[in-house]
Amino acid sequence: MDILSSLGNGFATALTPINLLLCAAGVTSGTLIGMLPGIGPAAAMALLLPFSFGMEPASVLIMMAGIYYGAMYGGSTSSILVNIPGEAASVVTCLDGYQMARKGRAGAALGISAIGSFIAGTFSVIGLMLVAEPLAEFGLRFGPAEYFLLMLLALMTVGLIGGGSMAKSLAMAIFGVLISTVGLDVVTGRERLTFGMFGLVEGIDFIVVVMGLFAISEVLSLLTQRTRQHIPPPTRIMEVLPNREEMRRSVAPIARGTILGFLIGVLPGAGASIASFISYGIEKRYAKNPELFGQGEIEGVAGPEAANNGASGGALVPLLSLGIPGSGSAAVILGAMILSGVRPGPMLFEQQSQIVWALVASMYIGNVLLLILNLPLVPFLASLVRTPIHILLPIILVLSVVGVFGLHNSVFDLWLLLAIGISGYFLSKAGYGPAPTVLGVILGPLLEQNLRQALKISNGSLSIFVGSSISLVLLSLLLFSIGGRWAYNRYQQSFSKQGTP
Amino acid sequence: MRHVNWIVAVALASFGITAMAAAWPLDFWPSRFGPGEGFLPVVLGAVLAVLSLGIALQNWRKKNEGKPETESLNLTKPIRAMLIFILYLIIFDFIGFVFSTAIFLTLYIVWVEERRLRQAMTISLAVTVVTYLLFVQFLGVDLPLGVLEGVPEWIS
Repeated sequence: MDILSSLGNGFATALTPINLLLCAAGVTSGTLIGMLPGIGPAAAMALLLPFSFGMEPASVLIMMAGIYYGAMYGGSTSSILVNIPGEAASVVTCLDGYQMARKGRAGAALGISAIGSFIAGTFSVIGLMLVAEPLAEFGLRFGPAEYFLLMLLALMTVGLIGGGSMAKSLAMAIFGVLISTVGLDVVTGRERLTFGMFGLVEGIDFIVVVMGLFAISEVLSLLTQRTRQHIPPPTRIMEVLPNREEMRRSVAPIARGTILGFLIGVLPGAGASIASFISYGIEKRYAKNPELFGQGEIEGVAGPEAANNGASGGALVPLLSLGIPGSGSAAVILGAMILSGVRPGPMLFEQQSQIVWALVASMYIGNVLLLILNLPLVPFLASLVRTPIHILLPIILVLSVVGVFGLHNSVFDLWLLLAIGISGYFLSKAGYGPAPTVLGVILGPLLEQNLRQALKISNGSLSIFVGSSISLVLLSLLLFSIGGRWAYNRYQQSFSKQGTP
Repeated sequence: MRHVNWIVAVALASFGITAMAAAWPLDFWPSRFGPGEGFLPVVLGAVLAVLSLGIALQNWRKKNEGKPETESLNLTKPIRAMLIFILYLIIFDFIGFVFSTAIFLTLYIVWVEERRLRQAMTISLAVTVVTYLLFVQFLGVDLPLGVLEGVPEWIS
């Protein structure tokens, strides 16, 4: 009852006209900015943070919450419409979301993304309310060894999501981790794999890899098609939104994605990207026809999108209860809180409960506004897919250039973009999917950092990786996923040899 | 297409071997406290090389077994697009975002998509202006001005 009365007070604060307006403005601007390639929720919040100067602390956080959710949805929108992920957590949405758009089901993909995000976001806020403290304490039990195993598990699941053979997917994941090692080593400061090129000293930004492998590669792929695909316009407005069958198929993935996303989001540094990748792997494993994943399966959008937003609430758990941001976006929220004179940590719920509960209430409101404002836009957004391709493709190239150049003002990055794009095109023609590489680039630094830290703690002994119950569970999952996939492949091969349908 | 499979596998293996070679002089396991900066690139380079060579071998065996590939790649448009894109990258910093983008879009639509010049210029102008206003003016992204450098703010 105490929680309910606190939440009621929070709603009383959040539902004032000015705060509602700020939340709506945050959701709208976050969605629009989040659609722009290379600008994810963290960057969108950082860009719009100056507009919040002079506001009340509760109002600042309410606007930030709106931008947060809006930007996540915006990132998914560009993944579905033009195969350019707006941010890391939206990469997986490209795999099936974009294929759905190419089949004329962009509206269904966008609709399910909005609905799944709403459901997952709402439940993750409930989870945040109820289990923030005990979950944060559980998250603290993850040390470097546990984090390393978690990252490895996430990379292993790419064997399920990469499309094509597991060997090719693993090769691409390793390729991605290798790319992440380019540049200065954070511990010793020595250059690695720079080959004397000054432009590589800072490393290769994952945005460059994403733009190259998804945007540039896709443009080249579309240019090689002898006949251009015609996407027929819908004859009825309801054809634009998910139909009953698609909604039915999305229920379980959304439920699984929500729980998975929230639990993974609680782990500081793990974040929405890992949650969305693991969710995709799980949905593919549960699917009746896993071979159809990557060709426009609704489950491939519903699960990861729910995981994405589930992680958004989870990421705030360590932030609010321990003062540790769980993700880049949470870090910007932390910055906004500090600027507003709010110090998150163990005493936050006691000393500044009104602001905390106003933030929690605004997350509910932000979710609802996201659905209300964006769902009616789905038909319009879906119509963008029918933009003539002779206009769309060069625009994608220009946006890629702007997105990449804006990172470090480096022309060298543009040449990298070109090289990665051309390589990505031939890789995709040879059956190597891009998603594992992107995951490798994202997780590579964390993987290495945690590996080295774990081995330093244990004086070089590998026993640290079996030293806790959490690491044993993770190791078991790792071995199970590898063994299970190997057994499944053997089973399939023996079936096909026997000619059994 | 199978040639592409085989070439890509060999290219990946080469990348792995190159990464190994480049990281070899670095510290692999300098002390009992754990690996150095050379550990991961060397290990992963080796694994990638072995894995890719295995895939290449698998492709080689399939080449001698299955049906011949029928799909061929039509590379005329991609090659044109990439040539114009390379020109775009070359002039991007010199003449600035605005003019280079306008030139790129016009050339692309005319030469790659084989549309009329008037249509190309209209689209090019619209896209360049919108992109400039959105990224430079609204979001404050720092794009090169090039020849517009030094022109008073109200013109640029």
